Amino acid sequence: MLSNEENIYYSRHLLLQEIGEQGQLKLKDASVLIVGAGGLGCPVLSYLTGAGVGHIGILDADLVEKTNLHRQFLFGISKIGQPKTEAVINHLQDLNPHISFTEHFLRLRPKNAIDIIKNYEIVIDATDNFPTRYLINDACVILDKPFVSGSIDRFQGQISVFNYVDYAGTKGPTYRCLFPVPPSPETAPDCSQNGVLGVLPGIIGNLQASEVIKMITGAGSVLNGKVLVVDTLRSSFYSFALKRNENAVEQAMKLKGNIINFDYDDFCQSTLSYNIKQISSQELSKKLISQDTIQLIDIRENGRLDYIEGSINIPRSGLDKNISHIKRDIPVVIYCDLGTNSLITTKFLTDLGFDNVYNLTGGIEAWKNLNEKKSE
Amino acid sequence: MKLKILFFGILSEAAGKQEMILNDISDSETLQNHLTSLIPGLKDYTFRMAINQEFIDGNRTLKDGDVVAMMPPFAGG
Repeated sequence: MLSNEENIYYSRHLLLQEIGEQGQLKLKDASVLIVGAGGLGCPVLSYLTGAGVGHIGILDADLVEKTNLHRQFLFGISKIGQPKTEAVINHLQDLNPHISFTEHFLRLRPKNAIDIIKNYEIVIDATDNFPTRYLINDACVILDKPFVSGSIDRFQGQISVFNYVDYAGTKGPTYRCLFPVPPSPETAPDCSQNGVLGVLPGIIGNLQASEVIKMITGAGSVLNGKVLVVDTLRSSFYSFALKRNENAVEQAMKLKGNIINFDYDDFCQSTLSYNIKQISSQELSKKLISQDTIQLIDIRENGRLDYIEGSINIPRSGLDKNISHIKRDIPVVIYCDLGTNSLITTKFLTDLGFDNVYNLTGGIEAWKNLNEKKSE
Repeated sequence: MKLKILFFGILSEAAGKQEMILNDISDSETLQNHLTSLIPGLKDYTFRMAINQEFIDGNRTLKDGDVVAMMPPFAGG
């Protein structure tokens, strides 16, 4: 039963024949996990909160940065430096007091993915990197959960509902059926390297939210077996048919019980064709303990708390202006969150003739993992 | 026969254009080889090919008026 307050709050939904009280009660009983509270996550979270999805999980390890604000409207200047999950929940609780929120202020990793995802009916992939996209895919395939995938590139976006079981009990395609092999990082830059039109994640995120509402209420048809591609420059929507590929699904299924040992960072870097130097967290740790002289450069945007001691922060966006601050005769180690953006920066510096530049594989996440293991 | 090729995402940067018209190419494998010779570095990209808005596996015959989309994965979110 809906309370009087809820009847007023959702009155415009209740007028829709396709939703009505039955649909609204289904929404109230539903639980959805949103992985990534960024460009896609903000609109998804806003509209699912407004729509009355009863239990919403929000997973993100990032802090609000100034560069987020042109498209991530759940934050404001006053929230810079706060965990995104915390800032989002403060805002959304005011939007709809009938919703219960669970905060996951962490990064989704093979060691926690199954335990977190198993508590939700539907997962939203609103992430900005391939290791997490493949991890969400695999965990959802293993747990038999549908997930709503959204991704963006400058002016275009892709949306699909993956691993969905239709009314006839037939299972739909997965992300691995679309792209069995991840791209090499250099050929698939993210928004921080390539830019993004501010309204684009708004469009794609809203379409993701719309799919979730249909999946829960049964209204209309679900974007299953199709990939919708939106191009804001052409003002066009394209729908591409996609088939389930059992071989690709098997790649995820075979990780059942063993996903914790699969290295997604390595999987997403293995197709690199160029020759750049890499250093592991273990090797870096040894060098720092033996007090080797190293220039440690954090290329993430300002405002991160989890830096490696002794490093300097030169955001990728300001690297060109600060090249003269990097000494050529001392080894340089570049790092970011996951080792993907830093890989591209390492290549950039290598191409400029720096012959002593190393990428920290797995980024700060691998570094923190190593130090957690040491302290356990 | 004429084919229309649409490039999406970073592939339009690699190709230097959003679309192109090609003539007299009989199947998708030949088309892919032709595009690889036209666009430097295309072989390093991950992408799926779609004919008339259907993702294809393996080689497919092409006919006059077909629209071929070259779709890479998108990273951002």
